[in-house]
This record gives sequence, structure tokens and C-alpha cells, in this order.
Amino acid sequence: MEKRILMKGNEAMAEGAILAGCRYYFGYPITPQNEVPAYMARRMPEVGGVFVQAESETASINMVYGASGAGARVMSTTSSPGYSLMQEGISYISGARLPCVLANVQRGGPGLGNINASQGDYFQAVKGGGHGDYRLIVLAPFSAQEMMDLTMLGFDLADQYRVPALILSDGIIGQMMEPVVLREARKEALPEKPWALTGAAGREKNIVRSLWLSENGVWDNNMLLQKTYAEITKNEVRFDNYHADGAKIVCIAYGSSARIVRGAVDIARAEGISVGLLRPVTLYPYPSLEIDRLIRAGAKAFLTVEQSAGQMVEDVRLAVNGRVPVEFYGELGGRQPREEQVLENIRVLARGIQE
Amino acid sequence: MGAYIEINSELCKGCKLCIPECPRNVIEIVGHFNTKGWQYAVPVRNEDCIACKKCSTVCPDACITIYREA
Amino acid sequence: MAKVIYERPKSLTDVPMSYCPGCGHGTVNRLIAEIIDELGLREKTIAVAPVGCAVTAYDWFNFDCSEAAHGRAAAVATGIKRVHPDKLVLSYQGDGDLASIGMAETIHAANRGENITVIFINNNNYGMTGGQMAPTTLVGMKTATTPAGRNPVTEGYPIQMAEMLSLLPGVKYAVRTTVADFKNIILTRAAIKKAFQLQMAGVGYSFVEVLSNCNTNWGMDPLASNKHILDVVVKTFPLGVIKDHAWEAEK
Repeated sequence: MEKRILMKGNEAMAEGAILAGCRYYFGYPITPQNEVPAYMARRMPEVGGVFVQAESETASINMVYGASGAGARVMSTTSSPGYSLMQEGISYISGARLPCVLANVQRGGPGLGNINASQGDYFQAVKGGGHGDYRLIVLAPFSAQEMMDLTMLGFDLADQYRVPALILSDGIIGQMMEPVVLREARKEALPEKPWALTGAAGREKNIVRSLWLSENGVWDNNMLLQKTYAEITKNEVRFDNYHADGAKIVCIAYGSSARIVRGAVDIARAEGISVGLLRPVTLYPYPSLEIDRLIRAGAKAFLTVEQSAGQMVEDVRLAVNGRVPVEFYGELGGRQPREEQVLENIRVLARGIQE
Repeated sequence: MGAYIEINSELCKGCKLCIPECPRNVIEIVGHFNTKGWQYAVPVRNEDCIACKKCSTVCPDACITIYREA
Repeated sequence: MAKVIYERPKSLTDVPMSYCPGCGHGTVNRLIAEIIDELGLREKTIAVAPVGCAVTAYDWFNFDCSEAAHGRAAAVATGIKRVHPDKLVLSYQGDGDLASIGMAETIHAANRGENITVIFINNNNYGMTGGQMAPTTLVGMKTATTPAGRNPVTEGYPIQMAEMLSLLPGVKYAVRTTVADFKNIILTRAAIKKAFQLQMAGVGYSFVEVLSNCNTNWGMDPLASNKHILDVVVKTFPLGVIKDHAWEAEK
């Protein structure tokens, strides 16, 4: 019998990191993810790891940069305003090709906002966020279980591709409590990192850098990054297809929005409407080819539902490329979409398709 | 005394910090340029060198080697 | 057969240092390399380079190095030292990196008592970017952004980092030296060596502030700029040991 524990999403994420072999956590308190540093402060010493409450998110992300450069599996977590502070550090981490796992448990914004869930940081998360041509792997959990599982996956992907992996969560997923299957701790040794800073014993010195003043250095590095992103796009797309195959209306939503849309989809299907939900699990790389496939399988309209003024919908429109209508329903400022409203939008689309 | 210095002419930038340090006036700028365009320092009176290491201590470019005959 | 009395340290590669002729950065870089050679620590050293004139120091240092974002070296060094507590971890920073944009990271690494050595090159301006005012610019000193001279009413006073950090219990050794002349270079060498030894003995955070010239931006030749340090700069930044808890190594 699998061991199931009633856990908060935030704590499931923290425990997932420990199970994946992460032994270094640097973070700063910010609502709605304060459970994470508190959990790590207690758990890290238990597993012989290191917890540091840094003086700011700026300091946190730079400690992550240092520890990652030194070859460790390392994590930091924050919420929207703190994630903004990390952008400089993430750009450096990406330029230096360092692996790490980060989390943004989104809250209302912009500015100080509120402490409710939102999805207003999609652009920042998925399009790079800091300066320069880089991307992160972005994983979007929609349950406490996925908070654990995607965090564990994030460490493996980060080490494999030498990129940061971001868990893009929100205040609802972070705070909700659900039964979580406690996964097995990683048994194998961590992947070798011959490029890491460990003291130049028996080898040439290693340098962790993103600066090349010579003519080709930055170009070379960028080519390498683009090659990496192409491989990630080819191999690492993940999504959950909930009755979307052959559906005439396909809803697209992630995170807590997806949970609300699922409810509306269930009711609409019971009313005989041909509707399903495509739930991206990776927001980068985006499941554009799946959108393609669904159009060929009969989708006549897409409904994107987000807790924002419309950010992911742009990626949906890019993928759909004008072939069918893409409608949008969003709630702003820390408000959540309402199931009745999603249902109404689906019904309107269904009537429109019939005519 | 059998002591003498070598100054790596490509690493030397001709900053002249070593020249007044030398108690025996071994070093001078003599007007030769290296490939970087610096007028590098040259030991012109190596026979007077006493291997005191003052020149190498003040050199910001670590371009001086000091020898003593055994 | 002649015996080598002194040669370029093994912890330096043969890549020329990119500093201006006569710059104290070069002298300090050389001292660091000499001491690492002497203590046999080349294979155990991990250094963090700043943003500033020393940004490419890893080209001539022959040990593991990390770049850091501007001001963040103390946080990067913290991350490295927490992963490798047995290695010699040093952060090498200038005025802007350590005392301006990096002030929070500098103070908090010191306050946590991270067992690292921070070497602070104080030349009273931002050298790399063309000589702008720094937190350490002297009152009345003309810079690119204080063309009329630093006015304390609108620009505040220079910050004495060694004294300020020494207030923190986590700081175990704080000293201010200079490389402006032969005698003081010897003292700087001793200070850096002591700091490294304290770190390897597990004593805690050490801070070596080195007054250096910046002859290019000060508009002086190297010899005159070093004289300026000894005549003028030391009046604002007195030389000496500010805090010394080396006795904790005995515990």
C-alpha cells in the first residue's frame, strides 16, 4: 500500500526536493510560500543538508548560483515580487549554464498586490524574464501531488540540460492540502558534473562565467543555449489531455485554473457538449504540437482560461496560427475564474459552432 | 654577489614602480617597446644586483624573476 | 647553476593581467597567488571574481573561479562555501561591488560569519567604468560624477567598511592595509596570509581592505598615485588591524 500523507502543496514541493537529493536551500520569506523555508529549516538539518535564510531574494538567487556552480542540487522558492528580484540572477544562471530548481508561487500583482493566487507572471516565467536570450524549463503543477512530482522531475531535467527549472505554482496550489503519495527518495548517485567548482585537483581549473569579451564568445554560448532549448522542446513537452481528443471545443488552462475548468468541462459534457481540456504541464516547452494535433482531430474553437489579463493565450494563438477562433476568459487581481462563467463561455462557443 | 634579474618584456607595462625601489639602480626604461606598446623596464646593471627582492615585491605584473648563482 | 630566488607564482597563468600599468590590483592579485602557492592551496581554492577591473581575473588565476553578478560575490561565495566548507573560498571585490550595489550581501555574509575571506580593493572610485564616485570617494575628491568634488551635504561621507563590518560579531579578522610602497606590500602580504590561515583553521569571516591606487582615473602616474595614498588617502582610511580574533583558532 502506497504511503499517502495529507500535505500542503508547498510542503509537498519541499519534500519532493529532499527526495530528489537536494541538500541546499536558500530562501527568503514571502507569502504565500512561507511554508517552504520553514519546512526546509526543519528538514535540511535532518538530512544533513544546508538551509540558509538569505537577506533577500536577490541574495538567495546568488547563493543558488554559487552552490550550483559548486556542483550541488540546490533550490530557492519565492512568490511574484521576490521572483522579480531574482531575474538578474536567473539571467546569470542561464548564461553560465547552471542547473537549479526554483519556484514562483504566484500572487496578485503588479507591485505588492495581494496574497491571493494569480497567474500574472506567465510572461516573466516563460519568456525568460531577465535580460538576454534564454528560457527556463517551466513546470505547472495543478495538485499537491504534482508539486512533489514535478519538483523531482525539475531536478533531473535541470541537471540533464544544465538549465534552471521553474515550478510555476500559485497561492491556491501552494496552500491546498491533499493526500500525496510519498515517492521514493533518489537512490542513485547524483549525475557527474565535471564542469563544477570543486577545487582544481588533478584537472585544469574550471570557470563559471557568462562574460566573454572576445568577438565570438557570447555568440558561441548563445548557439549552445539555443541548441539546448531545441532539444528540450523536442524531448520534454508534457501535458494532460482531459477528453480533448476529438473535442470540438478545447479549453486550455494550467494550475488552479485547470481545476476549475475541469469542473465546467464535466458539466458541459453531461449536457452533451463536445468539449475537453488540454492542460499544459510544461509551459516551456509549450505543447504547441499537441494543439496542432487537436485541430487536425476536429477542434473548432479554443477557450483559454487564466488568472490574468491574458498571457498564455498569446502562446495559444501562436500555435493555432489563425486556423480556428481562440477565445479568452480571465480574472484579474487575485480573483479566480468561476466555474459558471467558464461553463457559460463553453455554451456560447458551442452555440457558435453549431451555427 | 652573483645575483641577477630577468624582466619578462612582454608582461612588463613600464609602470616604473620598480625603478626607484632598487637600491643599486639596476633597472631602467631604455626606450624599447613590446608588442603591446609598453616601454618595458630592463635590467641594465645586473652586475650590481643583490637579490634584495624589492623590485619583485612592488611589481604589479609578476614579471620579474630573481636568480642567485649558487 | 643559478638558483631561483623569486619567480612568478604558479597560481598565476602566463596570461598578462589586464590592469593599467602600476595598478595595485596587479600587486594584490600577485600576492594572493604567492600565498596560495606558499600554503599549498591551489587545488583547494575557489575564488569569486567581481564586476569591475578584476572581472577577468580568472584568466590569470590558475584555480577554480566563478564570476558573479555585480555586488553579489559575497552571496555567491556563501553558496560555494556551504557546499565546500573545506575549501579556501575568497571573494575579491572593488568599491562599487562591495560597498554600493553589494552592500547588503557584504554585510549579511559578514553577519552570518561565513567562513570566507573577502578582499576589498579600495581605490576611492569606480575604475572600470571611468572613475565615477564610489561610497569610498574622499570628501572634495573630483570624479566623473562629482566634477565639483564630493559634497558631503548632497553625497554623504566616505564609508569605512573595515570599521563598520567589525561591529558584527561574525567578523573575526578585519584589517586595512595598502600596497602603496614596499613596506606596506609586505604587511598586506602578511594580512592576506593570516586571513587565509584563519579560514583554513575554521575561525570565521575575514576581511582585508587594501587601499590601492587608480592612477588612470586619479590622473596621476603610478609613483605619484601611491604617494597620494600615503599622504592623503590614509587620513580618511587609517591603516591597521581593526579586529583580530585569531586566538579563536586555538579553541
